[in-house]
Amino acid sequence: MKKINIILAVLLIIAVSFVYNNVQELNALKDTQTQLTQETVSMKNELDETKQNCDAKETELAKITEENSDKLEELEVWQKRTAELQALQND
Amino acid sequence: MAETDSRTSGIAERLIALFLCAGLTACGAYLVKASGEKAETLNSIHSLEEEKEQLSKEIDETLALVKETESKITEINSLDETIKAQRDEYYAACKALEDAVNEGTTDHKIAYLTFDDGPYVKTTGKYLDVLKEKDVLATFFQMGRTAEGHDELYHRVYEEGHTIANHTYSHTIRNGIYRNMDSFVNDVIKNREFIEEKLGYTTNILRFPGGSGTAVSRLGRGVKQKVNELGYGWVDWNSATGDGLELLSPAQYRDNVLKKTGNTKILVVLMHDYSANTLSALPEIIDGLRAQGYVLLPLFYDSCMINK
Repeated sequence: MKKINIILAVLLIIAVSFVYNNVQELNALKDTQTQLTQETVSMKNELDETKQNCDAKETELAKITEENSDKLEELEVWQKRTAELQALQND
Repeated sequence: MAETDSRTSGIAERLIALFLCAGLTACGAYLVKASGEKAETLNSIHSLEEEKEQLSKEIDETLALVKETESKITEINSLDETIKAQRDEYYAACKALEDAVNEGTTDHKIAYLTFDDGPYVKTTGKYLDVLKEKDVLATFFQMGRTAEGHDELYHRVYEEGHTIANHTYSHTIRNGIYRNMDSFVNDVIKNREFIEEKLGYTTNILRFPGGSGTAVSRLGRGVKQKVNELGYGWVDWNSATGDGLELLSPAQYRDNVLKKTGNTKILVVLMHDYSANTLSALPEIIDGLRAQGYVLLPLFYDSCMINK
């Protein structure tokens, strides 16, 4: 019986060490998971802010594009004139 | 007694064995449970990493869009400079064509249509209409005196792409600007300031009222050098409708230009935008010049026709 107990005791020690390692590993994984969760939340907030900034810029762009439509048209006209003249020279 | 001890020892050993077995079973149970939890956590980590990567990509894309939008906003905010640069590029193309004409590497010829003494409320707008319809850019030698109080018309000439050049503020040839050099210079400067104030634009092209011959006859040869010192290049003309006194018909004005082009490769045509008859003749003058191979351009400082 004693021999069996000795074997059982050795097996128990090995099992406990397995359990210990497993606990350590699991804790490390949980830490990683927590950290990743926090980072993801932070990135979602950053994305929201960036999207809001982007929307604001696009609104601003639409506004000044409308306000400057005459100038944009004038620029196009000059570009067209220049291209036509350059083409004429290459005739 | 010994038998009792032996029995007690056997029970103790069995209890120990039972305890050890229980311990092993608990460890096994824990390991099974932990294995499931580990797999679940690993899956979660994997998903989080994927989500993070996706978020990072979206942030980068959105930031790129912000940057692109900001760049467009900057471009629009600097449109005035961009338009000015584009005008300069256009004039560079004019110069290239002029060089080609002079070198004989093109069959094209060039005509610079120039209109003196405006703007005039009754007629200048109609001239602009014709030029717009015919898609022609011309040069207006304007004076401030007739432009006073007509800002809209004055702006229109410039905004439609025509070259605005200095023709003195008052254009008083007799007993006025040519009285002495100071009177002339002051009138030129007054008109320059007028143009700058009204258009935010500085012209460096000038035509003497009455032409350089009149200016030289009144003020001497030094007057040409004087305008150069003021930063101007000056220009006369080698073609004219002859509309200064409005004595001829539109057909005669037309013929004065179209029948006298000769072999001139580069024409500077003098007209006045107060003339109703030149206005009537203008469409035919434009069409006729084009039919003779002339490309109609606005004057620019680097043109070979500008005396510097």
